[in-house]
Amino acid sequence: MSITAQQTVDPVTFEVIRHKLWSINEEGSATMIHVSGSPVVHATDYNFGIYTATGEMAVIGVYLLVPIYTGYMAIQEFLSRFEDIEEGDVFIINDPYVAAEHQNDVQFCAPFFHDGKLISWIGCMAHQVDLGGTDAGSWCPTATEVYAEGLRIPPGRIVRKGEINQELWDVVVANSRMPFTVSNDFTAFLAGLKVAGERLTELCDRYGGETVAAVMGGAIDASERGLRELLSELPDGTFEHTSFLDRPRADGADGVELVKINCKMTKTGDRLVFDYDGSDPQSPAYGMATRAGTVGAVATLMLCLFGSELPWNHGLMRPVEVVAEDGLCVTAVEPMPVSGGAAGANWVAMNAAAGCIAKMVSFSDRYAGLAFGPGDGSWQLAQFGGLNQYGEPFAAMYLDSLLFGGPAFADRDGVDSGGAMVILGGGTQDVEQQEVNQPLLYLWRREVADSGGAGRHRGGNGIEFAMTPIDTEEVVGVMATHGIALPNRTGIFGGLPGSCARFEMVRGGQALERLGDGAAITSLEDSGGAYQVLPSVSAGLVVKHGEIVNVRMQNGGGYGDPLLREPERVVEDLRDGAVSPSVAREIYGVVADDGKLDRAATEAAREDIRANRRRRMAAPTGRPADEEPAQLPEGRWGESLVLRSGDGGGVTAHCAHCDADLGTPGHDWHALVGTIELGAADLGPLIDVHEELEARQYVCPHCVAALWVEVVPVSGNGWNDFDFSPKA
Amino acid sequence: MKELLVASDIGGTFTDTVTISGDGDVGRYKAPSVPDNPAAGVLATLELAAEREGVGLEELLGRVSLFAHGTTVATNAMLEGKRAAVGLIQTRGFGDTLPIMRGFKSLGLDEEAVKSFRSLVKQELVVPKQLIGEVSERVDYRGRVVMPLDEADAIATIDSLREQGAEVFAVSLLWSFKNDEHERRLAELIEERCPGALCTLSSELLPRLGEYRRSVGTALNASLRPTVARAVRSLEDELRAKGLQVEPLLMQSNGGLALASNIDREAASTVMSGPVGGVVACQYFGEIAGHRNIVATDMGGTSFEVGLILDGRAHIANTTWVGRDEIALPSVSVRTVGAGSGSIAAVSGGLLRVGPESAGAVPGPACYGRGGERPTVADADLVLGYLNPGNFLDGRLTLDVERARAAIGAAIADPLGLSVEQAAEGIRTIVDSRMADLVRTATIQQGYDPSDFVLYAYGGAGPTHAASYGAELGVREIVVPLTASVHSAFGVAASDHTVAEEISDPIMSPPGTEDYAAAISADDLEERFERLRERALQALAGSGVDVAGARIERFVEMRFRFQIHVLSVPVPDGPFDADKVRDLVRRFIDAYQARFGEGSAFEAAGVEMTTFRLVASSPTIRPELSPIGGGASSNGAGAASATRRVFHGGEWGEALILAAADVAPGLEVEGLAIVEMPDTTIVVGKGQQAVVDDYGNFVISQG
Repeated sequence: MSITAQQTVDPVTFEVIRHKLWSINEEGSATMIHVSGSPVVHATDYNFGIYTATGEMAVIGVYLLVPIYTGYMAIQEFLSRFEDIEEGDVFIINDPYVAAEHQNDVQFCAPFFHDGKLISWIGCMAHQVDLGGTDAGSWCPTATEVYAEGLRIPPGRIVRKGEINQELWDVVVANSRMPFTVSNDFTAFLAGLKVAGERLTELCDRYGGETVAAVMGGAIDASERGLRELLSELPDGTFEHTSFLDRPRADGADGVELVKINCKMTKTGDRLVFDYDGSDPQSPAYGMATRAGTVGAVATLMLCLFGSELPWNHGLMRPVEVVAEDGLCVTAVEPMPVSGGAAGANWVAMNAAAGCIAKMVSFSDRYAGLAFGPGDGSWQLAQFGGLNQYGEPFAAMYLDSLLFGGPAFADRDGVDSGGAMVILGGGTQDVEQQEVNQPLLYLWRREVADSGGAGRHRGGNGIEFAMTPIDTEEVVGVMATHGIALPNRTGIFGGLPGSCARFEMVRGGQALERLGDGAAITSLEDSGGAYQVLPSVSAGLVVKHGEIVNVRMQNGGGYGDPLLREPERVVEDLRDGAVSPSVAREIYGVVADDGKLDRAATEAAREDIRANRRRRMAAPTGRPADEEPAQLPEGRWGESLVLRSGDGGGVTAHCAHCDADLGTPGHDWHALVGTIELGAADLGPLIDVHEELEARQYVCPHCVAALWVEVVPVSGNGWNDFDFSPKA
Repeated sequence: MKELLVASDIGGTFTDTVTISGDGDVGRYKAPSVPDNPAAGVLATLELAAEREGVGLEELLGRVSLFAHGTTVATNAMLEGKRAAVGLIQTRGFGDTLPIMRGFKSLGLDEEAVKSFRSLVKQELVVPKQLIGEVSERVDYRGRVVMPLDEADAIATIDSLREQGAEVFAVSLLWSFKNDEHERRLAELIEERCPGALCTLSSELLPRLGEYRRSVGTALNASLRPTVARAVRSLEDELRAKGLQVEPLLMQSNGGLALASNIDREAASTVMSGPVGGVVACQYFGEIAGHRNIVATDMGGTSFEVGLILDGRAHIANTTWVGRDEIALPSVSVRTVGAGSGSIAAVSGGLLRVGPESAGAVPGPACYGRGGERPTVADADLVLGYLNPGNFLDGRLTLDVERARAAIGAAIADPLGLSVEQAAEGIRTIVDSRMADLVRTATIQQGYDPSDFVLYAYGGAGPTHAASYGAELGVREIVVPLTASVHSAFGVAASDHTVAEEISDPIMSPPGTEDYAAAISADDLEERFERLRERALQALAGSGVDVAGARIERFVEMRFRFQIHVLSVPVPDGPFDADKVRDLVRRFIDAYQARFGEGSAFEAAGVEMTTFRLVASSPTIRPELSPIGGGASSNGAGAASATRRVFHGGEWGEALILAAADVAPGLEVEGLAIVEMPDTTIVVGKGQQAVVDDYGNFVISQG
C-alpha cells in the first residue's frame, strides 16, 4: 500500500519538512561521496535523490542530473515488475535500454517504508570506473553491438529485506577490471541510502508519513502549476532546432559522417511536446543514445531552464512529453552499442531542445532572460589505463573534460571553464591529486582564448589540458566525443558558435627530456615530435613515454551580435587574455592600444565589418508569393525582431536594432533578411565546419546587425525556427 | 589585584571586552566599534572598566598582564576590497588555476542559488587575471625537478607583474610542498627585483597537496599582510601610548593565540579570528562543567554559526571558508547559515520562506522603526511576546510592536490566511527548524548524534531561540553562559598560546596491505614529527614563551587511497614503533566506520597518510573563574516580579518574566519563562527547567 499526496499541509510545516528533506538528501549524498573510493565519484559524476512512492522526483541533488530522471524510470520499472517490494529491499539497475544512460551508471533505489506503508523511494547513482567490455573503463566507443560493452544489470534486488544478495554482488564485481573500487562504491551507495533512510524515518516519526508524502506531492504540484502558468503566458506554436552528431564513418572508410538529430517542440496551452521523429535512425556505431538517456537529458534541460524560476522537482516534467519512435539514434534498442551514447546523441538532443526553448521563451519579454543557446556540447571522454607509477594497474577517466565554457545569456557572459549544465554542483580534481594517482604529468591545464562564441555577451571559454606519461612506459587511452567537425553550440540572436572539440597528439617526442634540458613546452608545436589531430573516436590509443596528448573543449555560444558588445568589455577580455587581439579586431571590431580602448579606431573597425557584411550579404528573397503571412504574436523576439500588426492585418517584422520594416514573414523568417556564408576566416581556427554543412549569418538588410548564426546543411536547412500556423 | 587579563573581540559593530582580575572577578563591557580604528572601541570598553574599578585608564592598562584580541580586520579587508594588489606566480601552464577553480561554479552557495542556472556564476577572483604570472619550471609528484627554474623567465615575470601594479607577491608552484627549491629561489629573485616587497610562499604557508586551495590561500594571505600588519601595529601603538606594558596577542583561526608581531607572515590565519572565540569559550566552560561534547551555537543578526567541541577539544577542520572559497588553512570549524534575527520572511508561490536574505542593521527589522518594512525573525519574536520592547539593547532602542505586526500581517498573514500571531509563530518555527537542521548536519557529518551533546547558545539572539532549536535536537542540556553577549571575547581570554605546524609528505601502503607496520615505517613517522616538533617549539620560543611546559598534540590526516576525504586522527604520545603504527591505522579505520557506518572502510585500497600536523600550545595566564556570590536559592517564581502574555503553541499564555537582578546561583525557573538580561533575552520553553549554576550560567534541561 502506498501513500499519495491527498492531505494538505499548513505552510509552516510544509516549509520545515521541505528543508529537512533537502538536508536529508544532502546527508545521504555526502555519506556516499565520503565512502566512495572512486575518483570519478569524487569528481562529481554521481547524484542522489528522493522520489515519491510512485517514483516522481521530489528532491534532487545538484550533481550529474540526467540519472535523476532515469531513477524515476527505474522505479517505474521496479513497481511494475515486482509485486513483493518490501522494507529493507534495495534495487539495482544499469540496463540502458530500460532506465540508464549507459552501463557505467549503476543505480541503487531503496523503497522507504514507514509504519508498513511505502512513503517514498531513495535513489542514487555513481558512474562505475569499470564494468567490463572491450575497453578499460567500459566506455567502448568502437563497439558495434552492446555485447562488447560493459555488463548489463537488469532490474533486480541487490539487497532483499536487509540481506545483501551476495551472489548478484559478486557477479557484477567479478566482471570489473577494478573490482575493489566497484565493490566499495556499492558499499557507498548502501551507506548513503541507509543514512537517508534513517533520517526519513525520524522525520516521519515526528510528522507522520502521510504528512511527509503530502509535502513531497504538494511541492511537485506547486512546481507543475507554476510551469503550466508560465507556459500559458507564452504563445502556442512549433519551434524547431537541428544539430548533428559527427563521428568516423561507420563503414570504416576515411572521413567523418553526420547523424542528424531534429527536435520539433510544440507548445499548446500549458503543455510541451518534444518530437524527435525527424532524427536519423540508429546505427551500430558510436554515439547511440537510449530513450532513458534522451528523456533524462530533456529533463535536465527542463530543470536548468525553468528551475531558475521554480523549485526543482518532477513538477517541471509533468507538462512535458517526449515523442520518438523506437530505433532512432536517440532511442536505440538492443543490440545497438550505447556505452558512448551517455553523452552522444542525447546531448545533441538536449542541445536541439535547448534551441527550441530559447526560440520560444524569447517571444516573451518576461521570460526572454531564461533563453540560452545549446548548453553542453561534447563530453570528451579521456580515459587512460595501464600500469601506474607504483606498478599497479589503473584506469582513470579525466573529468577535466567537464571544464568547458557555459552558454551566454541576455544579461551575462557564459561561465568560463566550468559552465556545464549537466553537473551544476560539480567540477574536477586538482592537478596534483591526479598526478599522485596516475602516471601522467600535466603540461598545462589552461583556458583557451577565443574558445567561447563571440557575442554581445560571449560564450564561456573552456580549457585544454595536455599530459605526458611519467614513471611508466606507456598508457592506453580511450578517447571519444563528437563536435569536432561542427560546433554543436551555436549562439543565439547573432552570437557566434563556441569552439569545436578536439583531441590532439604529439607522436615520437621526448617531452620529459626536453623539460629536463630546460626547454619549456608551451604548445604542441614546440614539443619536438610529430603533431597530429586525432579522430573523434579512438580506442586503444597508445601514448608512449615522451609523447603528449591534448584535449580541447567544445565551448559556449554567444548571445547577440558581437559588434554590439561594449568595447570596454572587449578591452577587459583582451587584458585577461580571454579574447585575442585579432578576434577583438576582426569579430568585435575593437582596437586597443596598450590596454586602452582606441575609440576612433574601434568605430572605424566596426564600420569596416559592417561594410564587409553589406558587401557579402545575399539580399533577402522575400516571402514567396504563394505563402500566406504567418500568424505571429506581436512583440519582440529576443534581440532580433520586433513584430507589429501591419495595416493589412498581418504582422510585419522589424529589425530589433534599427526598426527597419523587413516585411511580412511567411513560413521562414530568414527570407526577410540578408544571408552571409561564413568562412574559416570568419569563424577562426577553433571552429571546423563539415563539408556537408555551412555556417550562415543572417543579418538585417538595412543596418546589417547579425540576427542569428546557424550551422545548416549546404542543401538548405529544411527546418523552421518557429511556426505559429494553426495545426492542420 | 596586580594582574588583570583583558580580552577583546573587535567586531564590525561592537567591541566586546572581558576583564578577569586575579581574584576571578569577571567584568563585561561593550562599546561601539570605530571603523578603521580598532583601538578606539577597545579603549572605550576599558574606560568603562576603569570607571567600575574606580581607577584611571592608564592605571588600569598598567595592571594588564595579558591583552589578547580577536579581530575582523582580515574579514573586513576582504569585504571592503582593502587588500594589497598581489602578483601571483605559478608554474607555466597553470596560471589559470584560480580562474578555472577546478571547474566549480557553485562553491559556497546554498541550494537555491546552485539550482538557478541562469544566475549561477563563479565567485570573483582573489587575484585578477592580469596580476597572475607564470614561470617555466616543473617539479613532479615525488618532488623531483622535471624542469629547472628558468631564472631569466622568472625575472621577466616578476618585472612584468610589478609593472602591472603588484605591491606584494605570492608564489604557488606545483608540488612545492614536496620540493620548495624553486619557490625559495623565486623569493630571492623577488627581493632582488622589488626590494622590500612582501612575499608569501605556498611551501611555507600551506605545505599541502591541492594546488587550488593552496594557491588561493597563499594569494589571499599575501594580499592581507599589509592591512593586517597595519591594523595590529596601530592597535598596539595606541594601547601602549595609553599605558599598556605588554605585547598584544591575537586570536588565530585555529583557536590559539599568537604574538601580534608574529602574525604578520600568516595574516590569513586571522580570518576566523572573530567567530572561533565563542567556540573556545564553550570549551573553557565545558571543562569547568564537565561537558566533553558541545555544540556551540551563535545566533546573531544575519547568520547562525555552529562549532563543535569533541571530547573536550574544539573541532578543527583542515580548510577555512573565506567567502565562497575554501582555503587550505586549518581552522576551528564553524559552519554558517543565513539565519539570524534579521532574516527576512516572505511568501513565494504560496510557500513561507525565512532568509537567507537579511534586513541587516540598516534598515533592520520593521520593529526598529528605521525604515524596514519587511518582516524578520526579530519582528516575530516581538509580536509573540518573547521580546520586551523596552529592554532591547539595554533599553537603547524601543521596539515598535505595531510596525512588526503590520509587516507580518501584510507580507505573511494576509497572503496565507493566518492570524498575525500564527504567522509570527510560523516564522519562528521555520527559522528554529532550519538552525536545528544545520546543527544536525554539522554533528552527524562528524559521525555524532546531536542528542549526545550539550548545546551552548550565545550571540544576540541565540538565548532567545535555543530553547526551541535545542528541544528539536533532543540535546541533554542547553547552556546560556553568563558571558553570552561577550562570549567570543571571553574565549579569546581562555585561549592558549599556540603554534601549529604541518607537512604534507604522504606515506601510503599498497592495496591489500595486511600488516600496516610492514608497509609504513615507524621511523618515517618519527622523523616527520620530530621535524615538526623542532619547528613548532622554535616558533613558540620566538614568541617568548617558556617551551618547557608546552603541550604537544600530534595528528595524522589519513584516508583510504583513492579517496579524497581525509580524517584527522590524533596520535598518542610517545615514540613510534610497529605497534603504534598498527594502532594508528586501527584508530583511523574505527573513526571512519563510526562516521560512515560499519563496513565502509575501504581497506582493500590501502591507506594513505597525507598530512602530519603538530600543535604546540602553552597556556597563557588562565582566567580563574570563581563562583559568583549571592545565594538566591529561592524558586524563580518567588523572584519573578511579573508575567507577560506570550503566544505559544497556537495560543496566548502567561510567561514568567525575570530581570537580570533576579538572577543568582541556585535560581530555579520553570518554563515558560523569559529572562531579560541587559543585552539578551533568555527563553526557557514550556516543559523546560532552568537552573543558574555557580558561575551565573543558565542551564536549561528538558522535562
